[in-house]
Amino acid sequence: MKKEEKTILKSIYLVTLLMFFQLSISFGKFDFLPIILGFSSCILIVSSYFIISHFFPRGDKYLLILSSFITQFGLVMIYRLNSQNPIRTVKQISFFTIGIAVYMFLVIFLPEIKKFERLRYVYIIITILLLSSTLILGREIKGSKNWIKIGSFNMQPSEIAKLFLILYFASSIKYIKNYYDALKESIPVFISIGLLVLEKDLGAGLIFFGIYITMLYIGTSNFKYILSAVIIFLFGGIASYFIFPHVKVRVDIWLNPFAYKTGKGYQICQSLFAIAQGGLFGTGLGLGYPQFIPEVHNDFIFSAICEEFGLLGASALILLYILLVYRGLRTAIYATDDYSRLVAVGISSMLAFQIFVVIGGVTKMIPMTGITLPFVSYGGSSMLLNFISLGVLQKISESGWEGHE
Amino acid sequence: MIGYVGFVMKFIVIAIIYIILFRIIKIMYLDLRGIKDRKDVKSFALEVQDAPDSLELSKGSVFPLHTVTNIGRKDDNHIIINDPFISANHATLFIEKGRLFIKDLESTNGTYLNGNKIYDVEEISDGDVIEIGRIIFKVIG
Repeated sequence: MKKEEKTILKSIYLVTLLMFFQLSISFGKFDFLPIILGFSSCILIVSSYFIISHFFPRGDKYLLILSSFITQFGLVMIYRLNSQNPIRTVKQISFFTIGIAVYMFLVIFLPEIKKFERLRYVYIIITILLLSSTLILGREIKGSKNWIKIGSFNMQPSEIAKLFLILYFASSIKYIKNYYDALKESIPVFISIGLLVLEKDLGAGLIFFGIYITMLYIGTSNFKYILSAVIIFLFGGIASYFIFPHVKVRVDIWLNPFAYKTGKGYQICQSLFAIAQGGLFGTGLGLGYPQFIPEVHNDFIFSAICEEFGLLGASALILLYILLVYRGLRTAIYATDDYSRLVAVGISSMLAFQIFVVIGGVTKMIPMTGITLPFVSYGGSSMLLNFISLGVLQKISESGWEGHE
Repeated sequence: MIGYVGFVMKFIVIAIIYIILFRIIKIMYLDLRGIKDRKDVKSFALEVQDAPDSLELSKGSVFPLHTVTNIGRKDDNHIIINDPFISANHATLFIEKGRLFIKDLESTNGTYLNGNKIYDVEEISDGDVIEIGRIIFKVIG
């Protein structure tokens, strides 16, 4: 098994270096920076894989391999989109480094996940504090009031709140015995989703609901709860369509983006044009025009990948995500106790819903909501959170394997 | 020139990405098959066919067999039977490569397989009857 992992990693280094090499020659003159970036991210993967496989051989190595490969797509794309001003790429690669460092730290120092079960009220208080903090301290960036500025660092508390919500809900599922309990334990979740709608952070609200419903179903395997949760959510959604103007705008753009193509729907129209331009094989790295999409390095990075890598490259990325989620669920199957199992399910479903909401949004399958693509989009707090959740998963997979080998 | 290189490179990059994907999926497929194989490993158990009423061993109760299962009167055995006719360490059953064997641990009253006394290691299979002291077990597998 170890030999195969090494061959896969070698091919990943090769493709990363090839992509960065292509970037270094594609803007008219030969540029050394992409090559340096490519080598440094490869060195980062080498060292992290070495530490994980050497000191923690029981855990699942594919979590790290897949996520770092996905991150390479993001780094390449962010450099390509900001080639004139590479500060963003340098920032992103430092976030990647910090993320890997935090991941290592968690794998080494985190105690058994089941010890976290007792603190469930702490988690929900932290979640609600984080979410409501933006209402008071937050400032509005791009229409959503979900950012907090600490020094020169902008962060999105809802990213971190997701993980705390998972920790809370995993511990409270075992108290659900009947319908009344289910309602009682779900109230904090609905408060969080309501706060997110107030902050106009609809994507995060959707993800919270997705995590909640997946964990509820897997924890209780009672279809009745799911049905009532969906009904409550539908009512809430229809009500918020009529109450909040920003929800209405999003839905209207989704139904007919070309009617608003010079105004509010400009972004999604450009995204659709870019995806169409890519075709099957894409325009080639550095040869498309993804810069016409506003905010392309952030929420719409998937459209840029579609344009330059084509349908084949984009579906490869989606397949990589599917494999990552599969590995997460596999961790849940092998976990030793119910709490870590539910946490693993929560984290995997968080990744899955996030990917679905972003990719569905930019391809106009569901209404567009501004959230980041895990491991790919530019952004520190999202990168950090994804690596933290990965570290927790890795820890669970490691303690889960003890009984099996 | 650059456009031409870029045109060729995009196919190479996509090809390598798919090779990586194929390799990863292959390993995961093998892994899934491994899980299935592990469940297919044959498991054996002992069913009590006859036992004296004083021993609190009800007829039909089943003991699952592990890689090594010891039977005897002492507390360090896997199957503990508190019967004076059974030695402290009476017999051992072990599974090797999917085959089940029984060995008598030089017990006082002996171990009988289908009515014959065992002197050394004997292979047993589904349906065999083992007599230990006053108790009769049937092998199910």
